[in-house]
Amino acid sequence: MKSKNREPDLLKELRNPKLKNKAFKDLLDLYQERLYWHIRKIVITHDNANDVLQDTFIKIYKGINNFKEQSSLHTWMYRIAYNESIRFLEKNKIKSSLNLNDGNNDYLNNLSQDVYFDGDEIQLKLHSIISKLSEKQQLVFQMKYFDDLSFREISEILDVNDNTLKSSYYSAVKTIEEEIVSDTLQTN
Amino acid sequence: MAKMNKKNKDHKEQSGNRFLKDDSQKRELVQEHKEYLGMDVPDDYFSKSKDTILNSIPIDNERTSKVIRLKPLIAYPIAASLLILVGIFVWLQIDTPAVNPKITNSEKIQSLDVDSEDFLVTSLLVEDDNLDAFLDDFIVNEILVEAELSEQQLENMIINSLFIEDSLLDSYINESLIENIVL
Repeated sequence: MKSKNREPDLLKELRNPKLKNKAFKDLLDLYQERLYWHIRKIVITHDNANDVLQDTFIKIYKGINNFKEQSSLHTWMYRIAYNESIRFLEKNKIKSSLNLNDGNNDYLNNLSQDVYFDGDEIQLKLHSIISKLSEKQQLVFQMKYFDDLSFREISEILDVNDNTLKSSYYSAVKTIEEEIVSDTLQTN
Repeated sequence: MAKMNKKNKDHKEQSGNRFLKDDSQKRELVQEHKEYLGMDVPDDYFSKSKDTILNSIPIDNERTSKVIRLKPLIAYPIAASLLILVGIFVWLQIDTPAVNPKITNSEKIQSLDVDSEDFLVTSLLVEDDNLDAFLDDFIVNEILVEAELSEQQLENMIINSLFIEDSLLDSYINESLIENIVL
């Protein structure tokens, strides 16, 4: 990925007070959209995602000098985005896709009430299937499938073993496929 | 549901055992999320969001300092050099004799003695025509100054004596007088 290749230079510029603002704008150009969609799939609605995205980038700006480079810059930012999303949900006591397993339909209700959700029956069905997965499976599936992150990157973000992630992902894929096939057979 | 099935079928045909989307068909994130998850964003959202974020970041860190901070490796030698220069300047100022000396101590008296000896040597080199002028200068510069010194020393002695106890006064006067006469 082009943006990943730019990370070392970008990091140097972000740590240079004279270049920090310009580098931060470049960072926004590169990662704003990717982080937004990562957040959106956790907090569901656009308004919530917008709030969390701003908090995330403010934390990135303030914390860039404390980044110890134990992981790549983008996985560090994804981790901040993930933590901010979870913190936002806990603070506002919002049910997300990640805690739907208690049997309520808050996730789908929130989704359908979001003015920036215009999904049809098929898309709602996919959300419904995803929401039946375990918390870990949902996260891994969305990060791998929609965010195009590698298992190693997801491992760094969630601080979970690679093999565990792979197991969760393939299990999630299998479950979704079975649900879709089952739904197709019922329809026919 | 037929739409999803058709879509899934198409994707399966394109990407083997996968469904929903094909990794070889990279699309814009917005399009992808809209197509597969039904999630959309307002028009021009990311551009506006970027401005909002840039406006909300703290700008205190961006202020440039008006104080120029030198690196210690450079600053310390420069500071030390300046101190040495100032010290030399002050030392030279103290060491340089005053233009119009006012004789107040015994060091000057010793220097006058040396000058008196020099006078004899110097006078041998002065021509007869200029001898009177040379003598006048010597009297004014050396003898009158020495006389003034003696007078000042006497005054100092009297002032100092005021601080001496009565019982020591006599001996103090005698010692001071002897010193003064010898000088």
